[in-house]
Amino acid sequence: MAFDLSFFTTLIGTTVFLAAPIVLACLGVQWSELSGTFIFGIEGEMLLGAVAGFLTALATHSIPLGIVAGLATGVGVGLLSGFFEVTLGSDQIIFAIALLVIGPSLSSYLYGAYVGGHELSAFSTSIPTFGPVPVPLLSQIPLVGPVFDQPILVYVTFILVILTHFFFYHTNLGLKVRSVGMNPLAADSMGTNVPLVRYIVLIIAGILAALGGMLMVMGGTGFWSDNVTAGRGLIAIALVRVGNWRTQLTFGAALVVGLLLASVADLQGIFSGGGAVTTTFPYEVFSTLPYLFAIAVIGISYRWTRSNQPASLGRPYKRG
Amino acid sequence: MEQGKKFSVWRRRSVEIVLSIVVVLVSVVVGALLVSFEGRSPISAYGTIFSSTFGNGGNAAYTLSQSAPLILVAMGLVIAFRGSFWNGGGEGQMLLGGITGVITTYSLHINNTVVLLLAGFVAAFIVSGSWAAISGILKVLFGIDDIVSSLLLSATAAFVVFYLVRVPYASSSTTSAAVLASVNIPNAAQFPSFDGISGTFPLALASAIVLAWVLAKTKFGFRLKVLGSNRNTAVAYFGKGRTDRLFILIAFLSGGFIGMGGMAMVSAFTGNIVAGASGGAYSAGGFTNSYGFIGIAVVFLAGLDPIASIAASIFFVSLVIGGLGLLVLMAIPTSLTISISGVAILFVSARVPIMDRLRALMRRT
Repeated sequence: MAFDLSFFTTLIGTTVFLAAPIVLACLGVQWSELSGTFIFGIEGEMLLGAVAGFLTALATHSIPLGIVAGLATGVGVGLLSGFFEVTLGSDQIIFAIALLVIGPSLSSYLYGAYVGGHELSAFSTSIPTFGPVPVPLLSQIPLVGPVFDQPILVYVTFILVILTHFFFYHTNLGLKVRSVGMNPLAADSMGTNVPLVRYIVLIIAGILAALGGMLMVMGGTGFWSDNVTAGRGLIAIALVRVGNWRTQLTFGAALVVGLLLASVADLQGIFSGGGAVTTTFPYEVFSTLPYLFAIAVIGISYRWTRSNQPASLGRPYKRG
Repeated sequence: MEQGKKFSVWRRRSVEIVLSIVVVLVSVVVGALLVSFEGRSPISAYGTIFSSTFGNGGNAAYTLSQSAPLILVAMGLVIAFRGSFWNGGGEGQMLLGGITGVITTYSLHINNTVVLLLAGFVAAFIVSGSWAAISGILKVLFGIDDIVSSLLLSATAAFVVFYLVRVPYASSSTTSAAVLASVNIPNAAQFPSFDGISGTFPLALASAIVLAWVLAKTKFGFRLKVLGSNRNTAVAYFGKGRTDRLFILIAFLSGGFIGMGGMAMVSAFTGNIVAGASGGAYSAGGFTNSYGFIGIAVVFLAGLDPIASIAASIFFVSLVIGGLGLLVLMAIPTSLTISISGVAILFVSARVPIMDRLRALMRRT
């Protein structure tokens, strides 16, 4: 039996590519939660960013404009979250559920309304996608070469991981943001502007979520499909708990899920025999693996490690 | 003293009701803005929604009937949130309840309507309840956030149902590969209707009344209230083991009622379960109409009150039904009306702090 290296090479490349949107969502969750605000609605934020980017790119035929629109949406959603969760002091779980309802429905409505209004056919409404940009030299390394043969946004993701980790765990400002998540009263008494910090952090989280959503659309086929993020935001929430709010562990967990997703794609292809509907094999089992993996590892990490969970997570801060 | 207290309770109630109406109005206005994005007239859109829901007696009866599944889902969520179980997995639980109802009534080979319906509802209650109880157990044993685990389990349930609909209980009549439908329930398992109003509606009303009584008057209702307001107090009063068991029971009952909602949907309206080709992350093919999420808006708009939840359910269901009318008559995507309910949830989330501010303002004047 010949040992086929190219299978693994492809798998590694796909893993990194599929993990990147999850990593972006994880970073968004981590930013928000380390400053003490739940962000269970990140799936909705991703979808809103994705649809804004997609429709703008569709209307203007320009990917950069699409990205700008998506990022602007991220900022807008972040401001909205800030207004409700910081200024008004809303219940953060109900707010998240609002985003979980609005994200899929509004994105599907806007797409349907745009396509219907311009009398486009669903088959012709595609946007140009990011092509892979190989890094010279690095992409020639055997086995791990495909890691450096990705769309630019994937490299941006790696850089953001490093920056986020450095910011939170190696700078004074990051410590301040974390102190807002642990004890806002103490942070306030030390002169930190708690509402401002939470606003800025929510906007950053919104931008990261929008980036993740856009990577799902523009890095993929270039066609829109409803619920295009397919639960990646939900998995990201779980992964941040798996990684115990530490960037490097979360990143590792996201890579594992990326590997699961990549193998799922392969396994489904093998077991469904190409025609997805005809086989009786329950290949859906593979799709549930990322979710079950997340639940199992959260259970383990909660039971046997010292939790790094921000102490004031989910509590709106009110002065006085 | 007594009279002053009564007055303030009355005043608080009326402020709450006014606030709920304001939330509804604001979300309706946002919906109007969304309609004009497409260049349509919002007034004729809302006219269509109204005429297709309450325009004539037949439509009104249909809308009331359709609110039954949502009322049942809302009952499950009232139990959950009163007991501080954050059930975000209503979508998956409702879907499971629906498929359980289909499988039970399909495989029993009995022709008695009462037996079939009873078996279907009990099976749906048990299966969905157990699914939700997993989240309760995970919380008690491992401390996993109940909202995280219920959302993840909801997505898992969607894939399970997708498999069941694709292979063992696939409809033989489906030819299109893009849409998968389950087998139909036998005719005997269809919920009878009276004067155009489905029998599920009185069933839902009865459950709401019973639940209101249980929550207000029984020992269980009291324990639920204690656990919901402060877990530490509950542990101090009842002991940890009993509190944990109570929490798991709450999760079970919550999922059970939501599963009954799925069974009501199947037995009175759809007759089968349709799943999209993609499987979907948390709503396979739109069988649930997002009721698992909309139910959350319902119960918080109703201030976690079972009886008020009925009115709120009818409002949201008329949005959903009106959305179908919009699709047929004006070709506006149905997702519009779900967005409107999303906006309502958005404002409902700020309800408690706004109430506090209003109270502070009133005290000052």
